[in-house]
Amino acid sequence: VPDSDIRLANANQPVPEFESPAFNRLRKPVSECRVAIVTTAALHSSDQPKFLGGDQSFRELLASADGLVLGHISPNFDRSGFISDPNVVFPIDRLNEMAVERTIGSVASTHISFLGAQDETMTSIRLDSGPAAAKVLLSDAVDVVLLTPV
Amino acid sequence: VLEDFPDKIDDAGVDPIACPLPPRFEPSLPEAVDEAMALRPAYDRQLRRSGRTVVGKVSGVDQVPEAVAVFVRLVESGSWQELTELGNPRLVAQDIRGYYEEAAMELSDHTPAAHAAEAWFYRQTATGRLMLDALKVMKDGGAPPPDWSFLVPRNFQS
Repeated sequence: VPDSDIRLANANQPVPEFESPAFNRLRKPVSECRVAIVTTAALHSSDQPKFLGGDQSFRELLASADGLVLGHISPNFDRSGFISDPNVVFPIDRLNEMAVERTIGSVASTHISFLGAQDETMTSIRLDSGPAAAKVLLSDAVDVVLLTPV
Repeated sequence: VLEDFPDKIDDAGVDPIACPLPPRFEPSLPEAVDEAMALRPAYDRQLRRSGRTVVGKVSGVDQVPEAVAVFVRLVESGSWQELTELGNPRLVAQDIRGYYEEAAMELSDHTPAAHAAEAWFYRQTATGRLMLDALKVMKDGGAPPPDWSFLVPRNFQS
């Protein structure tokens, strides 16, 4: 489905409002930050369990991971970009380049993958697997996450 | 704190990727099955080059021509039971489409714009047209919506 159609279809989509949204300001320059990727492309390595419909769990992806599997199953999603270059959904090479250039401090050793197609509430992600994924990233001293909503 | 940026990347268009199809090899086979078999060398080259494939959700690449044949029989007979026995129809369809799109990326000489590979599949290949026919047969025949509504992208469901 063309992006323009998706934008049009979602233009008036109601979104939840939270009374006290979690929001943290950076306390140091980006050039000193450790950065991780959080993708919703349902990526996983071949030895990890596949994502099932409605799956709200996450997979930990190693920065060195090769052979990632794209678990996204919507027919409306264009997979040719991922085949051409996985960086379109998992821009690990770009982050590594930015670390070499000192635009960012470093690249996390572990990144996170969720399944993008979810129900409206995302209850488990908000109350369980989301905070659990954040713990994984905090244990790797991550300061910033780059979201790739697919 | 949140900031909107004016930059917007629009689709390059929905023109199909420029991709020549191999000539018919075995005229005794249904066109879609023959086409699928003929694309195997291109698919294999793409896999060797990139090391990536999205084929394998239900069937391996060796089963793609037979999966296409199941869709041929579905359209001819109006019965989708054989398809559902093969696996979740949407995943079977995705394996077939992924196989085609990956072969196309090898046959083409450029990286396709977004949605160009799917436009090529549904508009210019016998198997893509077969999928559209199968969707109509299943929908009109009363198949459960989950079995047909995800067979093809929404913009190809008219």
